[in-house]
Amino acid sequence: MTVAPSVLTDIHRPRSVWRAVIALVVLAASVAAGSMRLGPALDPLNGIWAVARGTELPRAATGRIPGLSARVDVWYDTRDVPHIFAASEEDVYRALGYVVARDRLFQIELQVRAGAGTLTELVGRPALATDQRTRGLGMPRAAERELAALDTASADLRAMRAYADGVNAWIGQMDPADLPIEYRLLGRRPRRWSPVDALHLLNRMSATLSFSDLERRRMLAAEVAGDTVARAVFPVHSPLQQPIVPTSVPGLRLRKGKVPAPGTASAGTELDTIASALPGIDDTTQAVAGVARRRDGAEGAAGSNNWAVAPRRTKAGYALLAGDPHLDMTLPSLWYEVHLVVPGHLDVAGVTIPGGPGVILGFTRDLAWTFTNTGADVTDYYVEQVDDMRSPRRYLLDGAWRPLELRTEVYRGPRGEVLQVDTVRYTHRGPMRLYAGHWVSMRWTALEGGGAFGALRAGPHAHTTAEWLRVTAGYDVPAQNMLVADRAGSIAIRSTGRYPIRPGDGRGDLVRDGSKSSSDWTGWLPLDRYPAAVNPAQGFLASDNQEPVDPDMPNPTGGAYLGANWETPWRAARINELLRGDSVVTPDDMRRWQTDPGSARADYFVPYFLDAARRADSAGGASAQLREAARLLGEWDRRYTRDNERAVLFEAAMAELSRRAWARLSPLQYPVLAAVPVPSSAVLVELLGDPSSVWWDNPDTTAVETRDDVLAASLAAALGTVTARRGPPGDSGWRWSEVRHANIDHLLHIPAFSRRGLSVQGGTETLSPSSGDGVLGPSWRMVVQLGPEVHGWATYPGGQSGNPLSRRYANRLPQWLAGTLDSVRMPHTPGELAASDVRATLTLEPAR
Amino acid sequence: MLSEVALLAIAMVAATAVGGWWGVLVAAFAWGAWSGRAGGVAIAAVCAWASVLVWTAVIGPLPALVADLGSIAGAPGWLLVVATLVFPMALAWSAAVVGAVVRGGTANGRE
Repeated sequence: MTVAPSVLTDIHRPRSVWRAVIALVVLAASVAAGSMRLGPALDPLNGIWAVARGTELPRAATGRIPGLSARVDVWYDTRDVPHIFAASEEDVYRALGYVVARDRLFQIELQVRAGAGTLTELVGRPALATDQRTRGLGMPRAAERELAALDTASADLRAMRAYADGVNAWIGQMDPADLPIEYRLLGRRPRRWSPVDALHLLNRMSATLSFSDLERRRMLAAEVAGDTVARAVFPVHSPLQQPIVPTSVPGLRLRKGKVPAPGTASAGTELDTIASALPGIDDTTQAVAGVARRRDGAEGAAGSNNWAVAPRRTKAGYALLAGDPHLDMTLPSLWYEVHLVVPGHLDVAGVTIPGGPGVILGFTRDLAWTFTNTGADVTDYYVEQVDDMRSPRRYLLDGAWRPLELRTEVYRGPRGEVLQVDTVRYTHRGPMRLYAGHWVSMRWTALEGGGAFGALRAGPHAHTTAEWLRVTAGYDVPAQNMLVADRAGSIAIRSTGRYPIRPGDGRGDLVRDGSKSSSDWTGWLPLDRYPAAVNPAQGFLASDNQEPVDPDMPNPTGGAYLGANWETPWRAARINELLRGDSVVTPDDMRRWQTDPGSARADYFVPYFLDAARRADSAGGASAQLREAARLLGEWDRRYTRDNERAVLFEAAMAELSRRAWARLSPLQYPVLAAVPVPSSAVLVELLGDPSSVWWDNPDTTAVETRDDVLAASLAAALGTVTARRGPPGDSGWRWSEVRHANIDHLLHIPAFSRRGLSVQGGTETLSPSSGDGVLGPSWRMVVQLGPEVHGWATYPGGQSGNPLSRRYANRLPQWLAGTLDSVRMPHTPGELAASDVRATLTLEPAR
Repeated sequence: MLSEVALLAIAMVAATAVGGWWGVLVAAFAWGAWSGRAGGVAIAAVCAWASVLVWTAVIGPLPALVADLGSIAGAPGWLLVVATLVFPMALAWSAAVVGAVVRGGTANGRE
């Protein structure tokens, strides 16, 4: 009790007493504030300010990873690409995990948690609904089952473990300054990595690329205009054909067909009610994106391209390959560029998805490959009969009750507290959920995967296109149009994936009766029936998410159902036109075409608008506004360049035309229904071929309108709309750079870390499309020339670092916006890089 | 006095490196309890954290971070810098005064 006397002493000094009291209050307040995250945050050595010290890689660094068999050398070139030289493939994946975590730690955790349905553990209750959707789709269970099914000695599992070792080694060794700012803002610490995380990541990618809502689209249309119309406006085969597998028809081919008159609506039937309650593709992709992102679903907002040219059509006489997958553009980027070398075993450059062991798209010294999404229909729904509608434990199949698998899902908050517990039920088909008062199970190939990881890992080991196609044959989901070219001059494409075979008519856009096993898939399309082409006579190959084969032409699928409501082949038409018109293609041509501003869609529709205006004028029925609109549209060169001042008018006219043509699909007469998605422009093309179709007639007027009436009215109205929004023609608001932008958001949508309003060249359905809300776009652009020495050029919209303060965070954006590419370095050994080409080194040693 | 503040500031940096913001509290309290005085501690704490900020600004893009954090917080970024300096000052002064009182001093920094 030595305190009391001193305090008593101070009591006789009123100022000191007050001073002590104030100090105690200040101390208590400071400690309270410090304990509530303020102290750790403001600490200039370890807190948020430290982020500014960890922005760039040190010139030389060392690290240790458990399990390394030998030293690994990592050399970062002046493009900030790490070249990883390791003694074994497992070592290369250990180092890759370390290197990627070093630059993208928060991103990989966020993405994996999005796939695992555990975002609440990172960001708390706001992510609960997202996690519930992810788990309700059965994704975490699928990843766990896939991991459990792997042979413990398999190369795939060893790669996943090695990668996890690398990530965990970085987490264990990083300096306080290296903790990403997002963790500091959220007040969280990184969690340790496990092998299953790689599968969560793959599942997330599968959900983004393979989930379809065809049933919902078709049945929503059926509710309003009848089943016949629904089948026509969301058709199994695209009315406009320019397939991936080349045919004897060089250009666009319009299939013979007609959009039938609206029929009897089927609103109110049991299946329709269920279908309209099914999850839309936006709901699902938003769920797995792991961020509050809304995709607008606008046609032409996204689209990947790839094409390859045989040596005889290139200037240098070497095969050329180009690829630009269009995906969510985020900061940090979806991709991370690397070069992996295991002497005599592996030598691959390209991009990896942070969190996944391996290069997804890239090239070796022998071949190059790139993908576009096939968009196959690999999701089906079944209405189940259950024993108890409120809490079912069994479901009926062929007259016998079968037990449901019940999986308890526990959702935890950041401190481990339980936020919610629910149960996901599974039939033998997959997860079962309650939709519109009915229990509906879902079968989805993404939940039965197991071949994608191994195929992607094996691809870079191939030396020829034939070998590459062989080792990737087991790839399952999401189905991809895999384009490959080799140094011997061979080019090939195959839409590789696991395509289910359905019973009956084989269609997958119907909700089926789950009480019968005869509704189940009967098998898988065999490999020799996959859409594929090798060294075609035309000397080039291209894919742009369009229907892989023309159903009316000889093709390998044998008429198998692969999907429906395909992307309209406008981009395919454009690139094929460019490829056909050039027999001395150079790498620079390939690069230039990736941002080509031309539009096959505009080439098709503009004449219709102008003809309709001309006819109206000839008949004396053209208003001054229509004549002016036609004059302005006639001036357009049909290119979406930044300085173009007419593209905005065409887009407004197209929006008007679509709205007016499909007015009868409006659910106004059934206000309880969800809106019917707008049919594709390919169906609109089909409708244009029927000038007196009842679809052109406005039911709200006494007159009978025809196609040309609607085209003319749409064009005139478009001028009014654009003038009202952007001023009279000639105002700067008409300039395309003022209209369309790319918007690249930070993963947490933090404005300060995002880059929005970026002016880009390209418009709806151009090769570098720009439409919708601008969040989708060319996520990686690559051109490869397969000569005696392989040479690659590439870039992506972002930078290698995940640190928003880093020079390397968005340093590639100007280049991406300009449509230019960097030369990709591919040294055989570290010593091959000149000192001036090396920005930093990292030496990784086995942990003692 | 100046050298004492400088030495204290160095000690504060070391204490922060070891114990984070708690290090400032412990160091200031220890100083107050040992010397019976609180004078100079607050200035030393401010100097300590300010010197780290200056070092950070020299080797990294601190102004950009200040601007970004201000944007995220919806407040001028410089307020965060001020908070970063006021916080250790309040912590150190109050801890040193309490330390001095515990020792039996008058805690006014002049005795």
